Amino acid sequence: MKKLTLFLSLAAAFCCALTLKAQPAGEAFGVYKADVDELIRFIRTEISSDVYCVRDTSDHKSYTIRVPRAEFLQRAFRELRENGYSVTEIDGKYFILRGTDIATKLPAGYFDERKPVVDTAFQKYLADQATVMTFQNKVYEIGDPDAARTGGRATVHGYVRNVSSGEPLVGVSVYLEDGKSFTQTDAYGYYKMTLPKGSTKLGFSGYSLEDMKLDLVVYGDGALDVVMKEKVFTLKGAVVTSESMSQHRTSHMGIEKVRINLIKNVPVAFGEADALKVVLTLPGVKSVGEAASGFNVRGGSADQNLILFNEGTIYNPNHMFGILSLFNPDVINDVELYKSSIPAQYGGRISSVLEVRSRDGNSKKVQGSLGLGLLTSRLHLEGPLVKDRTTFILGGRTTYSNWIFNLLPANSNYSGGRASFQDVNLGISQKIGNRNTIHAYGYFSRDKFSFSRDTTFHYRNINGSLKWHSIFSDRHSMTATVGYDSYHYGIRDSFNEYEAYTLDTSVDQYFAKLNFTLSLGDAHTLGYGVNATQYDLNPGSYHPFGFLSKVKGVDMDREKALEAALYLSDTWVVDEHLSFDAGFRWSQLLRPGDTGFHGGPEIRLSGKYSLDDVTSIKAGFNTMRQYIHMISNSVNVSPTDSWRLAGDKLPPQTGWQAAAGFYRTLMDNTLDLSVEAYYKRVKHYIDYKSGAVLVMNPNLADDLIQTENRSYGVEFMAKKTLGKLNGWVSYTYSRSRLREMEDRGVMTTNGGRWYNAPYDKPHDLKVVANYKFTHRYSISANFDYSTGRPVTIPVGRYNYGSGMRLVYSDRNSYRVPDYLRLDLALIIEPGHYLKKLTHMSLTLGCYNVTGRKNPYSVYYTSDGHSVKGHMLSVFATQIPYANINLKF
Amino acid sequence: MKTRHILFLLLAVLTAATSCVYDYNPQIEGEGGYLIVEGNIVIGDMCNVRLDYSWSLVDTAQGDERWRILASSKMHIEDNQGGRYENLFINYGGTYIVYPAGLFDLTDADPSREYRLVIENEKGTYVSPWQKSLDAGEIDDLSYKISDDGTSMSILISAHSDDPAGSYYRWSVRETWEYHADVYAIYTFVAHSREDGEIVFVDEKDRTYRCWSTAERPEIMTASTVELTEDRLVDHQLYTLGFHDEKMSVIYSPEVVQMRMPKDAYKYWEMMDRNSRDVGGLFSPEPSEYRGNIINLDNPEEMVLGYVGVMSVSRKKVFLDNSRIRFYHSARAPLPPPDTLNSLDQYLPAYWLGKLPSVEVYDEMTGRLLGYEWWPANCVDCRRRGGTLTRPDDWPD
Repeated sequence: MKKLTLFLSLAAAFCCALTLKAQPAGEAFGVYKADVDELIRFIRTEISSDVYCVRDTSDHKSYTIRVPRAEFLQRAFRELRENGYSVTEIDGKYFILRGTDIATKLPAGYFDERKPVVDTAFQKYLADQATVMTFQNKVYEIGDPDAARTGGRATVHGYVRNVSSGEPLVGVSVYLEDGKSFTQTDAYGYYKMTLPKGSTKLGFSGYSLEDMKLDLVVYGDGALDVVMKEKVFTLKGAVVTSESMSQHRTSHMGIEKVRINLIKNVPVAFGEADALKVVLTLPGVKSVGEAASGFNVRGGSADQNLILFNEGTIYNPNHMFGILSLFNPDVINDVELYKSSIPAQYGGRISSVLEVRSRDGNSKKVQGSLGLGLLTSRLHLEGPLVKDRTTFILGGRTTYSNWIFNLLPANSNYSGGRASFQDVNLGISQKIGNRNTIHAYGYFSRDKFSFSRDTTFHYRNINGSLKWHSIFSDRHSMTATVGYDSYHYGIRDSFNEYEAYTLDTSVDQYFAKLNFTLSLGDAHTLGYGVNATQYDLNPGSYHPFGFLSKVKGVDMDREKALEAALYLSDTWVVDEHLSFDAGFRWSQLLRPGDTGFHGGPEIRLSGKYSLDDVTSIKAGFNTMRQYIHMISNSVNVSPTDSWRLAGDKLPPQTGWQAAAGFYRTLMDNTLDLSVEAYYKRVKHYIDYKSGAVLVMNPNLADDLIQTENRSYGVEFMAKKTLGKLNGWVSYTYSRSRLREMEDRGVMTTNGGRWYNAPYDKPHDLKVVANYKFTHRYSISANFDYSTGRPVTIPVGRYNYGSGMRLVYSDRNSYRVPDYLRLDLALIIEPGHYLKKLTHMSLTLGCYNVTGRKNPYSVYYTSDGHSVKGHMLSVFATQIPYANINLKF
Repeated sequence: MKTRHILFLLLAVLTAATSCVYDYNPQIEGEGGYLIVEGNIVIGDMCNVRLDYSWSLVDTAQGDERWRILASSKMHIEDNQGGRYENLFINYGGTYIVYPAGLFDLTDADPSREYRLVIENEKGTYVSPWQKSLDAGEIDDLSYKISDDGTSMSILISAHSDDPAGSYYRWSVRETWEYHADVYAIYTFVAHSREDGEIVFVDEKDRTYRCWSTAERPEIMTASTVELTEDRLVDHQLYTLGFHDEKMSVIYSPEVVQMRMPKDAYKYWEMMDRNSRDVGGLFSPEPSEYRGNIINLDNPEEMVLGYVGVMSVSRKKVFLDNSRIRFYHSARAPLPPPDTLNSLDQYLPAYWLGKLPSVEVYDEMTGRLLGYEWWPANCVDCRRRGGTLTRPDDWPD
């Protein structure tokens, strides 16, 4: 309290008396030789009643102002300022003080007990910022106050950061009170917004952050950095509205964002928090089965998803055959999936873009965490290298879990096998001044596994990138990224030492991305830029292994090409109801030696119309092009899949999607309802001829067939973002079918008719729910029901070569039984004892609570005499787990 | 204190078993009716061709209609210079009395000509493509290797040919093995009627102790040397036997028939193998149907299964003696104690209950004959387990 008295005493030093000299009507409006008291009294009665003044008794200056009534106030305030007064407007009320601003803000560091006002470097940093908004109920002036109030609009920009760690806050909604303007902070916590000049109220809200409303007086363009506090869960009544609001503000559709807090709550097999597994719980996303990290978005295949991890492309997002994804939950911040409206800055894949972002390190102090799970142990460290300027975050995981493979089914191809992996993430951020940030990211992962002693498989991912984010001006900013991605995969088979070999494939790519954002007035935001990716693919190197091996070394020709694209997009906010996004992208594959032209335009359009604050409708249309194919004929994403570039023999995939949706938010902005429907066509998706040889095949294209894909579906979702009970329920009806494009007579797959794609699962019901008893204890449930996936099964048998052989049905014309699973978890968060050195959180859960034997595949074997049907179930029983996390 | 709790918890949790393979037989009847043609045109040898139709999953016998078509099918082999080889199975009144099959004598066929198989029936004329004979290459060695843990034995082949481009090999294996009854019997029981019978001494050559059995290996065994620097395979694994497999109990003799084939034949057999064995795993390829090389000239769209090649073959046979290899571990159930019976009143019920005598039983003290040991018949008579008493001519002692 003693600090507060200090603050009050600042104001009490001054006082002023007021006089008024009213002028007869008809004459010029104004005062003549009035002292301060008179002037203020005049303003009170004639213009505004809400003027308060603390008079400086030593001030005996008199004021004469004769201007038209409309300009009077402005003129009077200018006169006052010239005489050393300050004028502050709060909620239409004017406070006039001698010499100093009203301190509507407590001194920085006020809440830090027993500490000097400016103690840490971070607080000092905050204090040094031009305008750092920490506290509400203060009026902030943006731009030059002395510039004439010309009306119109001004652009305000800045960073939103976490008050305690200094990390940029991503996806925070920034909006005008009246709802006429809305934006979100980007991956750097940066926002930019056009506001009407004058007094206004700007709201900030974000997931698990306390809402913030700031009073602004905008005179012109300027910067406004904001720090926000994490919400303390025991506070009741705080309403976070950002997620809901964004639904109604942008014209983008089909965007799902999942934050790490939620990811950690969703129960998964073995209790390892997994971003990709959570993506699978979103509507419109399916997988072919458990232990499949490949996912299918709106009827697309797994290779049609662009997976970006800090801008780098991930070609194989799996550890251990898909039991885990390679994103370390301690390091990542959020995942964002674009399944319908894909911004023009992205391209290269048909179905979706999954952006996974890691966090920036804590800029205030070094901290870390240690995690113990059933499969992995994890360690992460983060903190400042140079306080408040340079931060780092480092995370690593390793396995100790070969035991798990002894539990896997005999037919799963890896019982008795061995598997291990390691991965390391490193992120470094460096602030250069207020307008530039440089990020460096590195990622390395290595997987090794074997089915038997003689055959080992290994693959690794390496990603490195350097990103420069620069704000040229209030309206113009740039992100430039360069990087290198590498995926290598190898097999070593030494079963017979005379035939022992190694087989290696790889994808290496160098990329550069240059993206700009430019605000044009308050209605248009332009995005433009160029992307280039230089591919270097090794489709296969086959070499002898060991001295005795007689294997002929064969290296297939490397495939090199440059994928270049440029794009231009515009976000056009017509008014508070109507807005559009239009994007145009030209992409092209330049492949030396190819005669054909592989390139073309891509169009991204979407529009939104808000019926009212909580109801909107949207529609969109996209075209996409993909220049790289994954070669695989197993339904799962398997480590043995290889990648091939499009070219003369293998045309690029092209596709379009049309979608429309209806969105409504109910119950104080806590319940979002949405319906989205889509129709999608893809051409030149590859499927395989019977008996196709996919490995080391120089004439691969002859073994492939070109298919077209037709998908459609409707997704219903109810999502509760806040409250003790939160989560979502979604139901999807969708179909995805393929048809061979070429007529090869009797050889045509399924006679040239439409057939089910391997991931066509029409009915799909998902529930993800979390209930918080207190801020420490919560339970989570995850429910998943879907139609069984299509399979090709035997429909006949015959004797041949002394054994019983099988005749198979048309491709994918039967289905495995339906899939149903319920998972539960109990999450115990650490107590909020500030003094304790470590905080422990504990997750206890059970995967597949009902123990249902969900089929992954059905298959038939013949032992030479009879045919037997089998069903493979990957996780056929309850899997209890515990996961312990220590934060320090 | 907390740490101790955590450790306890982890231990409790680490006991989960996860996954499994279950029997699954949905009610799918499926469909039969694809013509199956199995056999090869083997130059310089006798060769067989067999016709069949595929069965649905629930069929237990071929339908009458299909049987009629099969039985009335005519087939012959022809060469590209007008030569014709007729089916040697005797034709009684227009119907083959044997299973619908062809037997052709190509011992004198000219390997420089091209050959094809022709099948004619009411559905049309089916032909294989004209092909030249592919020689089989040499089998250099047949050997075996026992796994480190001693539980399985691989049969290995070393073979070569001299094709600079490499070869595609296929092998079929006819295995013959000797095995023994559990009990050596020198007596047997002969029933004269329901009420009468006697125990008789059996001459050594008629005793039911040593038996021989023969079977074809059901595995599809193929290999390619196209990826190798030399058209030669060394110790390539053909198949494995488990250490409980009775085939290895005494002497085991695989006879390997080696063929070489063109690439499309190799792909056909690979696909068939994949479809019958390697499906359903997490990363298994999806099964799909694959056509052979038989075409119905009158209805080219008809799906016909089977691949008929033109080739010569080479053979090799080895004898693997368990008394030297010491690989076999019996997994047969322990024998029940024998009954000692000594009168016809006892013999007859035992006999009709499926038992047989083996040897006399004497009182150890007095040397008096107490009766005969009686055992379940399948312990005494090795033929009850599928073999015959006929010793193959080349069988070692």
